[in-house]
Amino acid sequence: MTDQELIARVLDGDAAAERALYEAHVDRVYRMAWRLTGDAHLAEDCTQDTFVRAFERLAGFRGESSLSTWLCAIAHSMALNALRKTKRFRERETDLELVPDVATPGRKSEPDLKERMGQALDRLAPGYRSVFVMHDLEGYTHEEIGVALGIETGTSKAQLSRARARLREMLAAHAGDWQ
Amino acid sequence: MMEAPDDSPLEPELLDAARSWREPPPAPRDEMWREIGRRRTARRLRRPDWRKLGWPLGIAALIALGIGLGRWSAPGGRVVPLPVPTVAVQPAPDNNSITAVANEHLSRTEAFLTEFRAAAHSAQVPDHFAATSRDLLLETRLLMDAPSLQDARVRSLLQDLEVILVQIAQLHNDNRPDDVEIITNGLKQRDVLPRLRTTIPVGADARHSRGES
Repeated sequence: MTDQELIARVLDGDAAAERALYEAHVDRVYRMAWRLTGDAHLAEDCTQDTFVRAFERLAGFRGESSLSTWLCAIAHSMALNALRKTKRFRERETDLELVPDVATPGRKSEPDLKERMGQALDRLAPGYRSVFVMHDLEGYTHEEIGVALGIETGTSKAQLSRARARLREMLAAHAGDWQ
Repeated sequence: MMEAPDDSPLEPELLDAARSWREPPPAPRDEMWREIGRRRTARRLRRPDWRKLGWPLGIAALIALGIGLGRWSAPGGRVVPLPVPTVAVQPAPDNNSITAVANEHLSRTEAFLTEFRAAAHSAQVPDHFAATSRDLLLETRLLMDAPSLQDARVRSLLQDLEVILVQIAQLHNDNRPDDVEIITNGLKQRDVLPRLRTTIPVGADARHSRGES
């Protein structure tokens, strides 16, 4: 069944179609919510609110983007709102220029590349991180990201490029592990 | 001059490390779906019917504006003591919105039970019926708990629906024909579908309650 057929059935009040729509998209929404929030409770909360909002507004969905992209846009907005509410957003919104190299030498136990990458991603500016997560980790296209984040496709490409460059910079001290 | 973005992908080692960052666990689908149902029902029950509240609120606002203008334009800007009419704005009875929510719910349940009855004739009732039944059961119970829902006929219907939906929700993958037969017999004995159809007003489907014409 296509998204359009599913939407039509949902708008006709078909409970099974609502569930089918949810089942078809929940994993992608949840994965993105989880990546952006890094918190089980927030990820569930965002996912639930995304679908509550989507069902309420489905009649207004014009099909200008795919349903998946539309849901992703709602989820992204929900995730950022949730982070703002919990003030974690501010804590993580560290100016990239002020962030020390995460590979500062002299620590007692040196974390491995995965840990260093995690720290680098935590410190990445939120705009770069969203694009990087969506494109490189979750497989969204630049067109989808553009629609979901309300930015131009070219901006998405530029932000991805800069995000990768920042990550390389932050992990440069351990280039031996990956170069 | 602006530098052209470097399109080179991240090195495989870095990408692999990045993929393990905040690696999401499997989504708790059923738990989240139940919560979505609860939130949607709660929002519908809370939402005021602005179309019904519109007129009294508008009239009250006009009267308040009139009084304000009258006082402001009084000679010398002096406040002239006038008897202030008290306008009791009665909020639209909650019954209207709860009835609309109940009608939407009954309409969806009627469609579901009709579909279930058709599926019951086949050898195996598909799994999704149990999941959908749980969602409808949750809404049924929320409506049963709503004090503003006073229609005795609807309340009695909800009680019967609760029994039927519990039975369907408990159907397992290996549902036996006996179990399904008990449910369809219950539907027949309690006269559930005809009662649903007579209770739901004509045209009061999900679209109607969303305010579409």
